[in-house]
Formats: sequence, C-alpha cells, structure tokens
Amino acid sequence: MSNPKLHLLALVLILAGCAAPSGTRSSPKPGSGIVEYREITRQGHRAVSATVDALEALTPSNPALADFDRALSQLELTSVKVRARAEAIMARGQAYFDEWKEQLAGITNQTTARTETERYGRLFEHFEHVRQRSGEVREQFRPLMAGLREFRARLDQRPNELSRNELDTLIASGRGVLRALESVSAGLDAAEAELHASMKGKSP
Amino acid sequence: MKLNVFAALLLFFSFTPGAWTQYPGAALTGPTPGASLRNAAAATQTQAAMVRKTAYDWGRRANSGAYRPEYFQQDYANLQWQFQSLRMQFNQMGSIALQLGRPRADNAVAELDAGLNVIAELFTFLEQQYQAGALDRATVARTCDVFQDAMREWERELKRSSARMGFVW
Repeated sequence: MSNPKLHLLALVLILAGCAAPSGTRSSPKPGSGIVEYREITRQGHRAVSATVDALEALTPSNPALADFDRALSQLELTSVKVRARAEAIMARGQAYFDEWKEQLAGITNQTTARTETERYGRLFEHFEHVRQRSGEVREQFRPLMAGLREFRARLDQRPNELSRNELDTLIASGRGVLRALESVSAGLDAAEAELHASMKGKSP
Repeated sequence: MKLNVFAALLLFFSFTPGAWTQYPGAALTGPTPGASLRNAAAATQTQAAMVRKTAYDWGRRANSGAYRPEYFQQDYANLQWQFQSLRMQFNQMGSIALQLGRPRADNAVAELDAGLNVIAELFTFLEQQYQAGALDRATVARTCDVFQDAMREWERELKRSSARMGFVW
C-alpha cells in the first residue's frame, strides 16, 4: 500500500473510528448539575405558584376552571422533573454528591491541600442542606398532587359543590411546597457560589 | 380481571432508585459497554414512545361519547402492560449504566427511575377513582393527556441524560 492517497484514506478511517460515539464521555461543566437542579426548582416554583393563584381565584359562585386546568396541566409536567430530582438525591444520598465532587475536582487552579479540604467540606455542607430540603419537597409534593387530582375529578361530577375548606387546604398544601422549593433553591445558590469562588480561588 | 392484580404487578416491577445497586447485571448487546448502553437506551426510547401512543389512543377513545365504563379495565390493563415493558427495558439500560461505575451515570439513571415512579402514580389515581366508583370519561381523558405529556417529557430527559450516562445517540 504505497499510494499516498491510500495512506491518507487509512488515516482518515482510523481517526473516524477513534471519534465514533460509542462510549463517548463529555466532561461536565463545573456546577452544571447544581445550575440545572436550580432551574428545575424555579420552574417548579412558578408552576406551583400559578396553581395556588388559580385555586385562590376559584369561588363557589364562579368555578372558572380554564385557568386552573392550564395551571394544573403545567404543574403535572413540571412536578415530574422536580420530584424525580428530589427523589434521586434522597435515595442515593452521599453517592449523589460524587457528581458534585467531580465538578469541584474539575477546577484546575492552584490550591493547597488544606484549601481543597475546606472547599470540599463547605460544598458538602451545602449538599446536605439541599438534600434535607429536597426531602421536604418530596414529602409535600405527593399529597399536593394527589389532592389536586381528586379535587379536579370531583369538580367534573359535582361542579356546584366547591368547598371553601377544601380549597383552603389545597392552597395551604401548595404554599408548603413553595416554601420547601425556596429552601432548596437557596441551598443551590449557596453551592453554586461556593463553586464559583473555588474557580476564582477564594472563599465565597 | 381485578385491578388489584395489576396494582400488585406494578409494585412488583417498580422499585426505588436506591435499589439500583442490588439489580442483577444485564447482558451486553454491543461490542463495547458504551454501544450496549446506546442499544438499550434506543430500545427504552422506542418503548416509551409506545407507552405514549397507547395513552393517546386510550384518551381519544375516552373522549368519544360511545366510550363505556366496561372498556376501562381493558384499556387500563393495556396501558399498564406497556408501562411494565418500559420498566423492564429501562431496568436493562440502568443495569448496563451501573456497570460503567460513573457517578454521573448513576445519578442520571436514579433520576429517570424516580421519574417513572412519579408517572406511575397516575395508575394509582385512576385505580382509586375506579374503586370509589367516581371515575368518569372526562377524568380518564384528562389523565391520559397528562400521561402522554409526562412521557414526552421523560423521553426528553432520557435524551438529555445521554451525555451524563456516557454515550451519544
């Protein structure tokens, strides 16, 4: 095979083989998991907030369901993502932190071992906070969704039996979820600040 | 044909994300673990689309005035069967991802697994309404819509998670 064109073709084929997607592994952008969870949490907050607003607008004399249906439909979708994330972080526990830790290890600035250990400790504290609050999201979201679905189904059959007490219970449940989501979001903000500070080589 | 039997089957096929480490290893179907994972993910994606289509078909029938309560059990069983098949495909994919031993992949699998658990709550809701004699066509049609949308979102998450799991579609 002395033809230079064949050599070139062989080289191209070898390189193409190396670039094949099998098992391709992209390196994570530092903090991407944290930023993504925070964005999902914010979407969840907006969806719960819209549902609570729609519940507050419902009255026995004016069971205007269009806004409520729109809000609930959006919440159904968003809640899957938020609850799945909260559930996973709870179920995997400290093992979930390994991904956050990888992101910390991806930061290449020069640091002493002591600084590195301190950063690790601070990030782990933020993680633990987020994990605990994620547990609250998990605990409170499920009964809210079950209550909303039952409430909506009952309205189809008995639209004139809109109970103020039931509405108030659902609104209170929604506000509980909102508080839990705010707490998770604050924890994620702190974790992201920690990572950014690490990239700049100083404490947040 | 009791719904309780289906509920028991669902529980049998369901498991929490924490159980991933106890799941038996899946056979590799490709020349490399990455290729096997991609094959398993493609099969999971295909089955997820099947679940979504089944929910769509059921919702369309339930919207028709000719839909009768006795059709419910058959349609419920059909959708649940498709969902259980998705579970099995997903379990296969999750087991392969676990073998790679990457925290990012394990977290992605745990999130997708939890997403399926959340979606499966719609079965519980339908069953409770049915047992209480409170299920009507409108509720079935609305729940089918939610099911479809939730599955579409789950499929997006599956595609999005491919980089974390270590493969490209």
